[in-house]
Amino acid sequence: MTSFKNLRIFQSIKKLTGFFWIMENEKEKTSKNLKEFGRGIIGGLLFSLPIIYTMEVWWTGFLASPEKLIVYVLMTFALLLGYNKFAGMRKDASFLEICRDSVEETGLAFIITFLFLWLVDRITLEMSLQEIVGKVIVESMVMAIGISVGTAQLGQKSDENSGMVGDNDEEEPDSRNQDQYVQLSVLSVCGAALVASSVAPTEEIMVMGIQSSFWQLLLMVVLSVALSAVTLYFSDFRGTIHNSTEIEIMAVHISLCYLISLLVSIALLWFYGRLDNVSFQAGLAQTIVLSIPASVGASAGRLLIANQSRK
Amino acid sequence: MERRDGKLSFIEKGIFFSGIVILIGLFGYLFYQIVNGEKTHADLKFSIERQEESPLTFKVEVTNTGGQTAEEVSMAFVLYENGKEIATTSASVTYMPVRSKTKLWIVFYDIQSADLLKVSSVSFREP
Repeated sequence: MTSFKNLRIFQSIKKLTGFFWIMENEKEKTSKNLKEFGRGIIGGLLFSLPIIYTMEVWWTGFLASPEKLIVYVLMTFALLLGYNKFAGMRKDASFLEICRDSVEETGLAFIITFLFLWLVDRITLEMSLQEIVGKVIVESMVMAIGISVGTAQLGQKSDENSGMVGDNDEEEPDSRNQDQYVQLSVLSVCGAALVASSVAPTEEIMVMGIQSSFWQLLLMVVLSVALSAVTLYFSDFRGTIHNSTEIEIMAVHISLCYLISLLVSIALLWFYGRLDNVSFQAGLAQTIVLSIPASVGASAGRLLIANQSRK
Repeated sequence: MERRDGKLSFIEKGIFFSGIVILIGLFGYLFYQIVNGEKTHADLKFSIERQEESPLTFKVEVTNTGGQTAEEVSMAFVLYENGKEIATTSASVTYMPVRSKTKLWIVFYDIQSADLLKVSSVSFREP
């Protein structure tokens, strides 16, 4: 009888201990999540504050057609999936986990952007739903990528959930590998979009483009290519390829970087309506002007946002 | 927000389901707008109010009640006394989105008295 009683007491203590262990575990998890969200929000604000403070971006919110907004959300979500696959999460993360993270980051970006725009009086409840939705979409997409970058890159190396721990593969692996090209391209697009999106909507790009002579535009192209080359090969930037002497590979990397800069510039200019009702020359000139910051983003930005040491 | 055990905490669940709801809501709204795409033109309505304490100061409220944004809005105003035009003025606004309201203040100097301020013309672009 006594042993039966002892057994029951022992089982109760075990249950209680288990309960406290789960509670403690949940508490620890919540604390880690809050830290991650904090890092994400800081990363998001870091990249999106310049565009939140830009008048032309607010205007795009009510000028962009619903079709354009859908394309913008889909493109950004695809970029987010790409970034999370190649740099934002650990290497063994499943596609479902990547999707789940991307949805979380998009949701968080919408909430933070809405609150921030409301705080700075760019959104009021008297506005039409179309204007509110447009403004939040236009402003929150860069925020979403920033959140992903912030979560992955701003954490301390000891934080295992940040994806920052693991083998320190400082050098980019053999880039002739097909997967590596896809990875480099996705990260370059993210880097170019993050850097160029803060200036793309401004009228200054148009002014610089149409007032520059042919020779100045040509020099801008040379400068963009040179900046990519210096960043990727000659500046000992973190994660660059120091030992690659094959001119062929260098040429492919630099060309890819510049091509991505041009494509991202065209996409951003199209989205912000800067290519509407302008001549081919004016559109081309704007693209060349914008490709300078885009190429810095595609080369240096890519290296900064790439997770150098994920598992 | 990476995790290794595959389980979501309640914060993550909240954010994830908010994300799902927001994305579905957004796409739903945007597709609805595409399907019901026939938008009416921008339609600017004016309300002019004379200030009692300063009779030559007018408060003008412009509201876009139409279905599209009006861009580069230029407005011309004429001031009348005894049915005779005594002064003109103009104002401009960069953008007037749908349902937006803008307040303008028009003050006339060197004029003794006036009866009425009228909008004589409005021009704008539709983006």
